[in-house]
Amino acid sequence: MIKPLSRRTVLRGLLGGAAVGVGLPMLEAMLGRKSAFAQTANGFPQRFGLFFWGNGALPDKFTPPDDGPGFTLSEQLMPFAPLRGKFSVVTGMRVLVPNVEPHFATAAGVLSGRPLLKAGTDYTFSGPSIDQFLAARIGQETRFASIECAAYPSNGLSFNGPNSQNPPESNPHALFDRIFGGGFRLPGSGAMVDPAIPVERSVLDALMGDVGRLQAKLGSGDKQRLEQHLEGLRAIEKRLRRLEEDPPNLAACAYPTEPSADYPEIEGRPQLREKNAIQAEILAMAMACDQTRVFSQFFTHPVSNVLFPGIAAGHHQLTHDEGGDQPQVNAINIQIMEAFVTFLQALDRIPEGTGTLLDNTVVMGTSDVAWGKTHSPEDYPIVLAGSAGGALKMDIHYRSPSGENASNVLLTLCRALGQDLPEFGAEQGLTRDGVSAVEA
Amino acid sequence: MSAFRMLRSVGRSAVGWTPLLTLLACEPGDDAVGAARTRSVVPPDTADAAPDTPDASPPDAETAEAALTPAAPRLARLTHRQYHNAVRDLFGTDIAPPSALEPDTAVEGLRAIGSTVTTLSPRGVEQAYEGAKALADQLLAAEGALPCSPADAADTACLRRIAEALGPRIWRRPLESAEIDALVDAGTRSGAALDTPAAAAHTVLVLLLASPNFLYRVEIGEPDPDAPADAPDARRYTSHEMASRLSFFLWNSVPDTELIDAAARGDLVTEAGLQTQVDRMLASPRVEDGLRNLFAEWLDLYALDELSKDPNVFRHYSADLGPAAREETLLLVKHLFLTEDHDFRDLLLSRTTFVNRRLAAIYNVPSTVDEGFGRIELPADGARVGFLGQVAFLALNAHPTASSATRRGIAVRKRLLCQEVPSPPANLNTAIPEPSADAKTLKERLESHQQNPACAGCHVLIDPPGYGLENFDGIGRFRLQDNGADIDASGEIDGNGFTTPAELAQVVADHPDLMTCAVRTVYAYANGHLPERGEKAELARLQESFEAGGHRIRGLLGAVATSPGFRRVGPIVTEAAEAAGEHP
Repeated sequence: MIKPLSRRTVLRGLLGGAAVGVGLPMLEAMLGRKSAFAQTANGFPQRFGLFFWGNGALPDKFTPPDDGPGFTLSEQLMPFAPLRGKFSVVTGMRVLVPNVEPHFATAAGVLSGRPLLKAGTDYTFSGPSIDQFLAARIGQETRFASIECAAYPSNGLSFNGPNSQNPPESNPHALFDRIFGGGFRLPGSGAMVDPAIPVERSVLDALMGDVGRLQAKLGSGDKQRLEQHLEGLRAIEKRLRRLEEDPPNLAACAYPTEPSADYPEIEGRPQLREKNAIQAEILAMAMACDQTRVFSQFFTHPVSNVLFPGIAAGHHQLTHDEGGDQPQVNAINIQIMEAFVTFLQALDRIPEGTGTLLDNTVVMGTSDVAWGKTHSPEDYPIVLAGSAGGALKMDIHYRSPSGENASNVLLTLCRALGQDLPEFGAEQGLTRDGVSAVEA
Repeated sequence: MSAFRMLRSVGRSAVGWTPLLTLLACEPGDDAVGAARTRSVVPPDTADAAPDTPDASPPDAETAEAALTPAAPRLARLTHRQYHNAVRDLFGTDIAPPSALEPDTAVEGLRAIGSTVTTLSPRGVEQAYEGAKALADQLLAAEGALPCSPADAADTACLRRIAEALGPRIWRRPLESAEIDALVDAGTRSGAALDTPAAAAHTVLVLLLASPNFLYRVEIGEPDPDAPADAPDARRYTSHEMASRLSFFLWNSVPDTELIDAAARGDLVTEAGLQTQVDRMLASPRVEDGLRNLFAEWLDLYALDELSKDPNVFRHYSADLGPAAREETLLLVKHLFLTEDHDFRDLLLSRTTFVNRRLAAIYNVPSTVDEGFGRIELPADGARVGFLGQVAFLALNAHPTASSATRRGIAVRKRLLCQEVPSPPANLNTAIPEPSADAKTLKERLESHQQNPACAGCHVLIDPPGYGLENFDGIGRFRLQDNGADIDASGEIDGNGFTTPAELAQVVADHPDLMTCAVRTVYAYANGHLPERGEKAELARLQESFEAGGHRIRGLLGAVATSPGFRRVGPIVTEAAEAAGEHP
């Protein structure tokens, strides 16, 4: 009943506390299962990530002053200097869906390519956000189809569909436990498969039967809601199956640092930077161990009014109330870009083949509005970091001359991740064009 | 301007029916200030479902029930708090509920509505499953939590006793014999596979607690044997479903054994039997849980968990202030509506409140107790009165470093008056001027900002209730000056002026929308959806009884719990009906 354990030798070293694997060329077989898609040329899986922050940027301080390869970094993008050659910037794009609800309509547009859906007097996303769209396509081989995370607690913006949201985990310790706690086996560690797993699988079968019987009694809307519940049960079952298999034999896979249990506010300021850094390390290792290939990090949420270190008022309030060139908003934006870079560097520290995990990933960084002060949908700030294994051109600043549809970026991301799609989005957000300037 | 397209000009043409929702009618343009007023509309969702008909024949109380078109059933998932209360009431306080559960989402301002429209995410399902396993572990370890301990892995008699004893309480309905058999079989298989008796019982418990029959409230109704001749297909909630509906509405938890027994006797589908149980439930101490949750959702008090202020600006701030402020409001709610039986408007007019030492320091009054909360009377001629004078309202609806007339104004309009506030138009410069010699206080700065007609259209309506509270800073401390200039706390709401915070409280208390908002909110909370067009007459009837009874909250809870709108249910909406464009 219990599978024999593999004891393959893995080369691994530890340097300076950070896990450093010796990069080895990897074959499909080393993943322990067939994976016919979403792979880079050197055999590593492609990953997608979202790094999201609230309240936009200051477009004139975010936009690089020149275009093309080797562009000059703007004031707000200066923190990216150490990652030169590993990211591109897309500006001048416009979210075309109706801006009916400031912050949320443009967030829906840039993340899903679709307009908001009005339900009652409230709004919800009308379709999946890009992370879930991709998780359904490139996330099905791994233990977790996707992982949602937040530095500041919120319900995030990861949507499966209308009123179906994936609230992110904002507690780093709970995130660590979920991925590296019970059941996780390090490749080559010789840990035993938990003998209770087959029993759990039959329990899950029985629960799925319960849901199915209940669905038969319900109206179509509630039946659909329970379909999402079934998805959840199937996901647990899949996770158990993955745990029974030999773990993916990936050289760089190691336990990340276990985070502390609590990150209390300091001077009324939450420890966003500190949480973000440890969450990045955990998520990076989750991907290095091929536990997931899709993640989202909600650094802050739409309309976030959080106090940043050294700043005298809440972020959202400042975007509206601060006069002049908004120096405090600018300082906050720079702090956010620094955190984004910290996040990317955690991915870039993990060697894979001749490059790094970041090279085999693409992380889209964006916000809920282009410019907080006016809730503008024009001139959206978008960073694409990591080339998804060479599928995207790096070190490019593409500035749209005509306010092109921001959904073009989403279509380009899908294509870069092996999805041969003729179009992306819906209604005003629908597009058939990518951003060819960054497509390799 | 695009954001104003949401306005619907549905006039209050008929006299006599209760407006379901009032939409602030912002009027952009040069004449904005003069034209500002409010209008009453039906909720957009129902307005879309049926053409707007003039309300030529307002129903009276006698015909209200006949005019009811009950809403379709909705599957609610247990909220975080309901799950915790259920564990406590099923297993006692020694069994710890899981701390990590899917967070609740408020829709239309209420988690009770969010629970009927949102899904459980894969992560939420995982947490519910892990939670069930952790509960099963505890129940197996606790002395006397189960009716028996399996003697060996094949002790089917004991497994059956566990399923029969706990199943009906956990699933809140009798189990079919096939369901019992399936639980026993699954337990037996696990026991055999792992060769331990505990594994067998563990599986039975996990299957009960991770089941959708526990995690969701399955209330779909049955044909009503007393259906009127003109509506032979009418449906009602079953007696067992009523037990669950009543207990989650009034207690925010699962039914007790007495309610389950009454359900089993069929009492809850009879007038007299229902009234007996509702009276008993409203007299039970458990109603405090229900009342607290109702007001916490209504007044957005759970958001106080995330309250964060700059301690360099507000030296009275610490991380425990938000929860303490919530407790103050909920103790006042308990005092006014449970311990005593006050008019609902006293929530805004009460000089009585309950403070711990931290809140006493903010209010600048002596604390009456060293620990916990003590009752105090605020000065009868002071600025601070009622809920609008409490830290919960003042600090929540403000910025981390400053007050916000706009946020407070919106909260008064939306939460207390059920007025829909349109979103600001896009591409508008929203900056308010920096303090200057001419405009020092926030009010002066906002008023100069209102020289821009595009802003003024809405802000002339949403800021003034907040002007009346500018005497309280961003954490709720009283102040006479803002930025070195005297504060002018005058303003007006829908034509009624005020000059002090206390006068503002009186204006809000006298606003007719406050009363309709109370009925609408309690009805929506009880049923898990905004009132629909077919429930308009029902709402009017409840409104009448609320006003006739002197605006008593306990009376309103009882009236809603026994109302046809709470007891009757529409047909299940199938795919076929939906495809044919039918609406319940």
